[in-house]
Amino acid sequence: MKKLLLTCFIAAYAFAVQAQIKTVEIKTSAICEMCKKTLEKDLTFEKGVKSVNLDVETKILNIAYLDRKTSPEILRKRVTMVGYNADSLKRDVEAYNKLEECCKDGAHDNDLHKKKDH
Amino acid sequence: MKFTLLLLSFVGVSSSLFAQQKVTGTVHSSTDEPLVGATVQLLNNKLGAVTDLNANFELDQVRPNDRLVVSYLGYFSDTLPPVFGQKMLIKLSESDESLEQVTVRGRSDGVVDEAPFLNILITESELQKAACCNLSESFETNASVDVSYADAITGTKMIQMMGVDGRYVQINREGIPTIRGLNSRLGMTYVPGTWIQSIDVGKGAGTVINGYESMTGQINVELFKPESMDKWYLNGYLNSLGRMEANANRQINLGKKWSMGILFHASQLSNEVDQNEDGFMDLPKSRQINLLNRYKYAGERLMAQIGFNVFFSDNAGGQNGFNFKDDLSTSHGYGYRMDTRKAEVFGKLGMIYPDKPTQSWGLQYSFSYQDFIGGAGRKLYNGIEKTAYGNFIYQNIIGSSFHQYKTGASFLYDDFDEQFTSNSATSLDTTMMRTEKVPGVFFEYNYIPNDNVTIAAGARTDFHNLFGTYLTPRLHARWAFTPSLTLRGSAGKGYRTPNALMENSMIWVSSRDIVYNAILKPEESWNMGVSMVGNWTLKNKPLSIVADYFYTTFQNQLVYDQDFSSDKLVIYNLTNGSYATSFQIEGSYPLTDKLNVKTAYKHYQNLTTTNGILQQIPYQSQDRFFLNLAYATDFDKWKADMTLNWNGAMRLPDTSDSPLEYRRPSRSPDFFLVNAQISRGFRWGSIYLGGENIMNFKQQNPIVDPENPFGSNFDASMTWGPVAGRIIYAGVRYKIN
Repeated sequence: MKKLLLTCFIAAYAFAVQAQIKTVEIKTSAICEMCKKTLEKDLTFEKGVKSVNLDVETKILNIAYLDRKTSPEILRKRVTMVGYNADSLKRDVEAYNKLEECCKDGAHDNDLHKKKDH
Repeated sequence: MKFTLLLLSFVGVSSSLFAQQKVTGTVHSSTDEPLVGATVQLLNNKLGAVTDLNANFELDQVRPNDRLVVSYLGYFSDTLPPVFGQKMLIKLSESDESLEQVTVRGRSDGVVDEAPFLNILITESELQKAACCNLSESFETNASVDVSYADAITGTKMIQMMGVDGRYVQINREGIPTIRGLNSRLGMTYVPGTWIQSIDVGKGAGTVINGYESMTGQINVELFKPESMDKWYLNGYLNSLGRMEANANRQINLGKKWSMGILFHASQLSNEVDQNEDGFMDLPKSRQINLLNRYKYAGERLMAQIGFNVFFSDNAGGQNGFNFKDDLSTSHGYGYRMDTRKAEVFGKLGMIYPDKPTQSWGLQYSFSYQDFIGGAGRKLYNGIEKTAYGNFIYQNIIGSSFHQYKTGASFLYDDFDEQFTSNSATSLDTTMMRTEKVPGVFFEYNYIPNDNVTIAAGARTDFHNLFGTYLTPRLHARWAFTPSLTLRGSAGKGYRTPNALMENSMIWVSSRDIVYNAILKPEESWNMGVSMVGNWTLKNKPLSIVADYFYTTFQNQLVYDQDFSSDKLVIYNLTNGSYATSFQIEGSYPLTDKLNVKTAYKHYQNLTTTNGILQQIPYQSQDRFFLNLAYATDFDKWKADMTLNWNGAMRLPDTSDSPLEYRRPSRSPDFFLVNAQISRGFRWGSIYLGGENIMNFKQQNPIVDPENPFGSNFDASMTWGPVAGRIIYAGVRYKIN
């Protein structure tokens, strides 16, 4: 009986949490695998964030988050603080300057696959 | 999709050349398309590179012990050791998994594929799975090193590898033999866990470059270095016995070419822990302060390192109430003390030639002084060891990189001055003094005809001032005969000088008379082994299985015979045979993306002639089972670990001549030990909570006749299991970059 109650409780809790998860897509200025790692790692530890994925090709950062704990505005702001543009928000210059060289503007302009895109 | 990786050539990772060098290479797909924009990163370092227009990359300041993590979107990432002096060709296999699974994680630990030795890497992330106090506790999640309990008083944990006592394993700190001599029992407790960046565990006789002492294996410990440290790394730890620890690592850049690192450790246990209420502390009260300060110079061609290490460590155990300041010889109660201080200067000097990248030289050196004051009951011990060590290594190729060699010369000065007073009419009173001066030369040739075969043949000759000439041949071979199966074989000789007093510190805490019937001679052994490593892809996940078999036979050994009589320890040179065999099979597989399972079964046989009978050595489980479950979410935000060890029954020393009430069974029971830890990561570090010996298993009545510690039946050395029960601990790690 105790076990059953506990199971119900966990299920109910999981459902309650589930119900609040939302996703947001943020267009960033990320350009490479290193940017992907930097952004995903930082956002993983952001309050309320459940999962993070950046698609380097489209530069879109997909975040699943708890509605109750954070908001797209806070998340966009955080992306700028890591050093990347977030939709219309401009990146924090100080943070950008600290990024790895391969994540700076133009670092991949000579890459083959970038040229193919153009 | 196959999880394959091809390299143009291979080098032994146990290479002890330390100069940082440049690594160049190119990253291709399995169908030979250049991968432009792939990232190549160092595992324990922030350094990284991205492949250029032609899929080429270049990384500066790479050390042989570094690991490159190569990744590219849509491909399996891989982790591999660097290859110097020629362009690496790295191939990544396409991943048909969804994109999330291609995060940069790599194979963070396990068998090092390209080494001719069977070499297992334990990374920082692996070490953090069991937040441990010092090196002796760093092998908890590793199946190849077993930890055992020395006795019921000193709290010493001992290691065994391949069923043979840890004193036959050479333990190096960054290539310099360190935990040896008088330190071979206690030395691992003086290497704080938070200082350790990674550990390489090599099974079988190791490379000749580091000396003749690796008789059955080689463990190399890499500490944090100025170039790979966080600016600040702070750690606090507390456990349910009352042990407290504070650790601080600090990195400072001193100009363009100089950097500095400070590693600090302080710990203490001031509570008297006596859970079994036998009147004896289950482990001694202790306090330790340990400081290491290292400097690094990185020039265009010259690399230099110098470091200073000092520590103080005091232990006070035995009967409740015995204190740090109490005098053993006059104390009313039965006490145990071990106070030690050490000062050491060590470093490296290396030169690389930018125009001749295959050529380099290096010099490792260490000068140390250590003294020990201690004893147990009325037995008093004093020891001083002074050591100077230098090792010069030159490395080049013969014609092409198919033929590589390392050669050089070493010198060891090791001075011992020990006094032992038993204050008993029948036991040993002795002064042991000796000075070893050992110049040696070595040569190791590596033949690497293609990417599937490596042969390393080495030999060294050492000219020992006391024991004559040592000839040490070693041979290692690796053959990857299919893409998923690698066969390795090794054979080699080894020597060491035993230190009977320190190596029997567990006998101090017994009423056994120590009878020394030996002429000091070096211990001498042959070790041979074969291993098979298989890596397959099962349901798109890597399945790895390692099986190995090793055989060690002693030509001479200092036998510590506890079977001759229950009131004696008789020490003599081997007269009859002594040999050990070990078989281990280990498997690792991720059950899900986040949950990895690692399991191992081990069977040991270690026979030595004691009391005239060739028999299994005491205190060794012949069968062991190991299971580790490791759960981690992305970027280790949540991490949970559980390790289970089953220890089969052990033979115990013969006590049939004791009075009936003090006899012990001839075998111990088998038992399980479970450890677990959970941690939560943050941007700034992590917090963790864990438990050791969660099932609270304890050896009942570990001490024979605890009521009469000065009597003739007292024996606290008959310990086969944990004396203290469950320990709960918690801690915090804080990092600033």
